[in-house]
Amino acid sequence: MLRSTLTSILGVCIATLASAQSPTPVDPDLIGPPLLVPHGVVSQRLAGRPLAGYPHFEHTRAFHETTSVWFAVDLTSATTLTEGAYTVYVTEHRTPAEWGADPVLVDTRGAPQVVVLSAATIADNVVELDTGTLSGDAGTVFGRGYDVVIDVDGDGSLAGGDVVDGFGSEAGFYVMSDPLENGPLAVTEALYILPGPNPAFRGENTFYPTDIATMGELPLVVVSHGNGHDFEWYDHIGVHLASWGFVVMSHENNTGPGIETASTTTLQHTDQFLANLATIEGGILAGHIDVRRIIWMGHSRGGEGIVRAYDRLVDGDFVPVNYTVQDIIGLSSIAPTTFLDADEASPHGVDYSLWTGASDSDVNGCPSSPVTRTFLLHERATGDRFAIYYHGAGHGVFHNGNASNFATGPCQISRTLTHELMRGYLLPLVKHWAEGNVAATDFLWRQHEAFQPPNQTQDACIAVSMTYQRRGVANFVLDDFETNPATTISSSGGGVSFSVTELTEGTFQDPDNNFTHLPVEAMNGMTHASSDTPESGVVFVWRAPRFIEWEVVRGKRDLTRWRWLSLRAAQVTRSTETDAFDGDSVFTVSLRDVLGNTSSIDIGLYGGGVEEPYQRTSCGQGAGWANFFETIRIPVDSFATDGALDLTRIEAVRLDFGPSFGDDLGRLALDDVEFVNG
Amino acid sequence: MGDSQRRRRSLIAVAVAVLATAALAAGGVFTRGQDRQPVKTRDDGGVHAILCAIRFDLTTPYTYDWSAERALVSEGWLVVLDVERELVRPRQTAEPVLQMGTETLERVNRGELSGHLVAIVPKPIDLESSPAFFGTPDLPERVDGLSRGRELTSARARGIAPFTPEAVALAIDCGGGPVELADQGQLLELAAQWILEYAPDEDRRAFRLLGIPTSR
Repeated sequence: MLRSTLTSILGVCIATLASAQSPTPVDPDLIGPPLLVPHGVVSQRLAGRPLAGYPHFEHTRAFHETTSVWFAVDLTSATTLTEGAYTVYVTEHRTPAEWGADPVLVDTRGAPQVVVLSAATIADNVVELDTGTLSGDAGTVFGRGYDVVIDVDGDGSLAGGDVVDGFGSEAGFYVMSDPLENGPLAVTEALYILPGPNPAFRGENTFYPTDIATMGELPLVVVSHGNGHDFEWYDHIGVHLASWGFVVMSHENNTGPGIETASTTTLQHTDQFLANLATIEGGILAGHIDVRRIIWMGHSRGGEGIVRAYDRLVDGDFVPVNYTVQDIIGLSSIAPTTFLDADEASPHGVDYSLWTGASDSDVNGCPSSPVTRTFLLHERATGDRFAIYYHGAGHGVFHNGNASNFATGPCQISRTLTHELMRGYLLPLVKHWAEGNVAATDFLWRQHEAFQPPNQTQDACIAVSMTYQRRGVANFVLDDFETNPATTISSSGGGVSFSVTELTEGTFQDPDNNFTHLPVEAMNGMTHASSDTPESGVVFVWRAPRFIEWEVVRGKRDLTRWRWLSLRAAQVTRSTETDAFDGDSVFTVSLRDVLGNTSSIDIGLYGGGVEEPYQRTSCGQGAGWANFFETIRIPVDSFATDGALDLTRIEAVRLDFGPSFGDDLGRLALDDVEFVNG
Repeated sequence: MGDSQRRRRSLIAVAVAVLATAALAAGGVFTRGQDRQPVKTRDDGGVHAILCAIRFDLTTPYTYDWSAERALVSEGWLVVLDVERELVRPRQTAEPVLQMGTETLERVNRGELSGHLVAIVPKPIDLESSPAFFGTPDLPERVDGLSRGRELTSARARGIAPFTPEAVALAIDCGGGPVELADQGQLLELAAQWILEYAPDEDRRAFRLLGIPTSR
């Protein structure tokens, strides 16, 4: 009776507090060390996966179905727990309000688990919670949320003092359905001709959930094809996304004259589509398109066209009737050209993504022409941006038309395989953009080698690299190399010391028209900058143990509010060091606190490393194609594992290269060393 | 019924007849255009022959996307050209710009497989004195009159000659006309008929221009 009464009181308290806190629930990204929320429940990251070396564990948000979910507690770091036995639950995720309404713990596995925590190291406290039996089925929501609860008082209810991973708007972890598979919705395809201002390009191909009449408003994805392509060549995108709750409209695109006309077609088709919802397919779409959530996708010239279209909206050069620039929530370019300058075609601050293939023989990536430098639009984006690079993928394999792959180079991958690889990232991307799905972002930066759908085709030629940068939010940028051009001062104003050799800071623009390695060309292979896209960074070499170290300036030394240390790095193509190594490059990252304590983590523990260049020839002498940046993220709190250092007083960030720290030799480009959340 | 309406109905009738022929021709395969022997008038420029031409006038002009000036088109030529296929193979990078005299041409179809390009000349130029050729790769929408003039001078210097009067006469005989059309839409319907005839592999494009929905 007493317990029941207390539970009821606690429930009321939690409900009241949760209500009072709404709409600003606890954000796990901002909790840093364990956070004691007002009613005594402790929020702490628990779920994750073990690593083969220090820090022995990585707290992760997303798990594929059929893969194990693990749990770890570091009793030496800030936690309310002490050594001893605890009952651990894996529950369906509940919001604070839901916990308040029902604090009774129900383990989805059938029964809770007793875990004995040791005061030794975190490695002693790594426990498997599930062997891969948890369901990822959440309907059209991508990922099913679960919370991990340590029932400290053993009362079977969530109460003060209990530790929860997931007490907030986000779950402790998510089990993801297979993104390669279609979603739960049946899909209807419609081919029709829409009245519009240009009678030459009126065709549309639309995919929507068959039962859309019973649904609410769905986000819209507009696909703008490339030159000589066809709007009927994107079924693989249309069917897939519609089955997950999107409406996808692919339209005829006027690409022959150029990018301006292509952009006009995208702008007009989007407007006309929205204007004609009452008649398209008998009006079944009317009332079911969320005009506030529009994503533009484009391929090749169409990929640049959508960026130009967005730029025109920003400039007020085109004023649509049925949507506004704020309604465009993301731009996604597939192997885009770059005919236009930065002041004509920029994604500005809207979320942007780039899909490109290293075998592309059309928009080929060779610096001989600015048009084929397919990374430039991505580099112009000032909002969140994601880029993915497939070795062996040609230009034409991104559509499903009966046309050339436009591919050259070794180890090419098929159209079917490319579509499979693309589905595994496109769904998470648009779910994140359109629905704010946080777990989906794990797909955008975790190394492909370590985090891929369990049913993905295995092929020795698959090599996938990704860049993911959150730029639309406040980060602590330690060094982005855009200011303070002296190599001894970071853009954040701190000192930089180094022993790596041939360190050169400058714009990422290959100084000539080919990829031939020349000793005087530090920026060989760089196609990320141009005269109006001045993206900068450093390139350096090591052939023995070497380092780069950044001072963390005073006022920025408390790193507990940041979830990851992030940087992006690329191997420099065709260099002696890169050719001699020929593999993923790894190195060691360290933090040092003001007391001189140092904690070091090998990036190779997270899978992969910095991908080697695609071994394609031409565009000069040698083998190796354009440099591609890969994001490396290390959880900040991992550096404090086993009490290694004090994260509130970090004075230096250091990268060590060479024997005992990673690969014996290498030539890397480095950019955007920063602390981030999200 | 006004003239324009009569013309429209006539055009639609022609289209229907062509489509009926297509249906009878085993899966929509047309052979007339492919069987016709191109009239070889010169050896370079990438444009081998002019197969058909018709003068048109539009009641309602439209904005021309295929040149930097974005001029209004109210009269011109609709032509069918026999071209070098590799030069019309679609690419994303800059393509050789098709020009006739000092005008860039609007390419209505791809022509990659058939080698037959249905194109619009945006002015009523003299076909007998206007060489047709593929010039320097660029985006047509940013090619202005100055550039076109240079391209024409360069083409003439390369020895690219206009079509012979005989070839032009045969082409006009093929096209008939001149024709007065209401607008761009009607012009494209006429172009669609020629696509069905000369580039039948692009029938889906033609049907869309004719306003006939296609299905899988």
